Amino acid sequence: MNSKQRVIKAIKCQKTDRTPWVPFVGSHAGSMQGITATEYLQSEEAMVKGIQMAIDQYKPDGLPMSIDIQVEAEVLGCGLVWSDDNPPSVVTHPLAEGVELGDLKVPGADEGRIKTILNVTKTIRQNNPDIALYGIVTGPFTLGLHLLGTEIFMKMFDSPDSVKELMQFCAKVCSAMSKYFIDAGCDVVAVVDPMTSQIGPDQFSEFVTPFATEVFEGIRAQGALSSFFVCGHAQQNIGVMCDCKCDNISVDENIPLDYVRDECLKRGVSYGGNMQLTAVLLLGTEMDVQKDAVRCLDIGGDTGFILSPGCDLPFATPVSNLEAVFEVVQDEYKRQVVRTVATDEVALEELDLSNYWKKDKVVVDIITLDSEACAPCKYMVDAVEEASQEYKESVQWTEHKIKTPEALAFMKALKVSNIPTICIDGDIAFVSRIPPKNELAAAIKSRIDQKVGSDS
Amino acid sequence: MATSDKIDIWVLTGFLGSGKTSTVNKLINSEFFAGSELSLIINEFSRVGIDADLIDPGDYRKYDLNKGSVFCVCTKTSFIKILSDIAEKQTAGSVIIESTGVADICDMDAVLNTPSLSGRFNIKGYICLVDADKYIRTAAFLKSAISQVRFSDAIVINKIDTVSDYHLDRLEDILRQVNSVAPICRTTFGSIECEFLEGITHSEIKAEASASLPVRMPAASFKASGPINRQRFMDTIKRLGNVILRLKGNVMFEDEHCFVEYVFNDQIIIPAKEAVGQGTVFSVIGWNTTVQHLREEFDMCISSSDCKC
Repeated sequence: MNSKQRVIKAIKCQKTDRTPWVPFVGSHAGSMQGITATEYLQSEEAMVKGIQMAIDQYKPDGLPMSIDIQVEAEVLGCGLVWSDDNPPSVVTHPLAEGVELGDLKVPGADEGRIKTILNVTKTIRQNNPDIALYGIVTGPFTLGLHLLGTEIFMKMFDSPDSVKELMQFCAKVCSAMSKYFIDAGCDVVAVVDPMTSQIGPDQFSEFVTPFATEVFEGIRAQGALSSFFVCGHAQQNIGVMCDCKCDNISVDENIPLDYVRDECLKRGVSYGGNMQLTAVLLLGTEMDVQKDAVRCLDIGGDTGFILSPGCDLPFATPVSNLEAVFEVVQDEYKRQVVRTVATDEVALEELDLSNYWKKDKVVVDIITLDSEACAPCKYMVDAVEEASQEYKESVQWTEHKIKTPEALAFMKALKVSNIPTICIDGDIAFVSRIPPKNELAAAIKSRIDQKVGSDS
Repeated sequence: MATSDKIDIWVLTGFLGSGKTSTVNKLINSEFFAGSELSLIINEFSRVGIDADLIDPGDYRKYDLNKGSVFCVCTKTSFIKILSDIAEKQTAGSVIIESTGVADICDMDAVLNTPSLSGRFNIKGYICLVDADKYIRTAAFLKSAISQVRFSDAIVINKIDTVSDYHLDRLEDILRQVNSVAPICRTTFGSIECEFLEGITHSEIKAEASASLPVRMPAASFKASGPINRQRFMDTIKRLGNVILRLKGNVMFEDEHCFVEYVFNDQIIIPAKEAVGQGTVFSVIGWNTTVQHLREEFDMCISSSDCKC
């Protein structure tokens, strides 16, 4: 099963060999190249380069071609403010400034940055046939808000028919954009409509459902898959979103993932999300990221679920954090380690190791998950045991299985953050890899010599 | 005004046009903040810089956040960056945040618990500005209009000169039902008395309370191609009484086509002077009821089978 097949199966609620990983890399790919979001989002070359870098480093099963829900609005006459580390923002709304809806035309594939993104898509498609490509389309309600401004909320009362006419036009734009992306080679069209989190299910049903459904049915008719993205406190709308006949729903950290799972799967809709963007992906450690990924993976499992961040990745998300996600996505052992380490949420006792170290022996500590249950841990223990044979009287080795609180406290005391790890007299010596016997023996001997030398 | 070694945060919420910018100007020039080291965060959602440009010049730091809501996940990183900068440059004093009309303030406490910000700030109060005339029309459709009131520490009904006393009393009664604790004041042009500010106490928002708000202000729109019986229509409105907060639209009665507007107990029925299209189209905002109830009531008075939007 290749990555593209994995994503397609997951979206169709079919079992996969593992959970697909789709990082929402937007302007973050500019950060990867050391350029601003503004430069990135306006350069075909930079976008091709950045997306390819993301594919090579993050090993995704799928990837969006651009995350910028201002592209259509810009072509339709909205004024934008650009930012060094964010996509641009819409700041002027033509329909609030005298332009009539009838004056607006559905953007063509060769207009504005639409053309740029479609060219990027074609290139990425050609170079990466086995990855699922996502085309990002601004949803009708958010596009309507871009065109009319927040006046839309009052018009929903004052003039509901005019809002529906606006939604009709916006749906036509969505449908056109979907077709452009599908023709360019996208496998999935993601309709991103964050502003729907601002309205309740009754208003959603009246002002969004008929129009969004039309878009999703059109995507299906063209043989592609669809996803409905929302961010914010949108829990109240998950049911009505499913009713729009999308194939998949993607949410952010504001909605509990198990709630989304239950609501979606019973309706035959797959779902995705919802790694925490700021607290974890941007500001957290690699372990924090892996814990959050495992949280999602344990809820989502291998049927109908796609692991992703909750929204567009923050510009400056550390590359190592995103690389760390793939480690747990593809490796059950890594997931077990993370689950075990995660149980140290309960405060661990601060260990006093002052009497632990030996004057006459080198202490080798192996911090593992459990050598009886996992292969890498066993190999590491075997390696230490074998390497220590030669220095039997001078070495004391111990395995610390982090399934116990004591071992977790020990791990914390030695500042060990990866499993398995070998420490020699309290110093981290080998991390995750199993050293060859001679290298390990040499490290132990070196420490013995230092001790004997300092004691003489 | 500031609390010892922490920087005080005041958050101003309210829909676009409720008078937040005027209020910010009044605050920064008020006795309440006189002599206090001050920073402003203007979270803009509409015209570039316009709100920021309308702020009076003065001795304060101003930060513009030109993307979405300060409390949206996507903007959180920019917001945290700004607060970190303020924490570096300011030892005490206050920060006034003018948020957008669609901001969900539930996430603010969590933002301030970010490790880099923890212990540096103290939320003094969430103040929600309510437009006396437009609030009901907005709140029926915009979730954050209800949540901003629900989780505010103080509510300021602004533009009170644009509506009747009865309208104000009804509005205040509704706001009180959404938030039974926050003090409420009435004003014009965003003026807030110092004594009112001094009396504000911040209550932490509980996560479970923020997860979902009961829908108390449903809205529904109706259409009918056939004529409506005027007596039945008026009887429905009378029967619903205080359940109807607002009703507006064009109704084709059996004898004439009329523009109808109902705001609390004020009723306007004006024969349409020009063609307003065929049939009947009107919207209703209710209170402490459901969409289903509104539909059942008005379905009974709409004679045509084409009676729902």
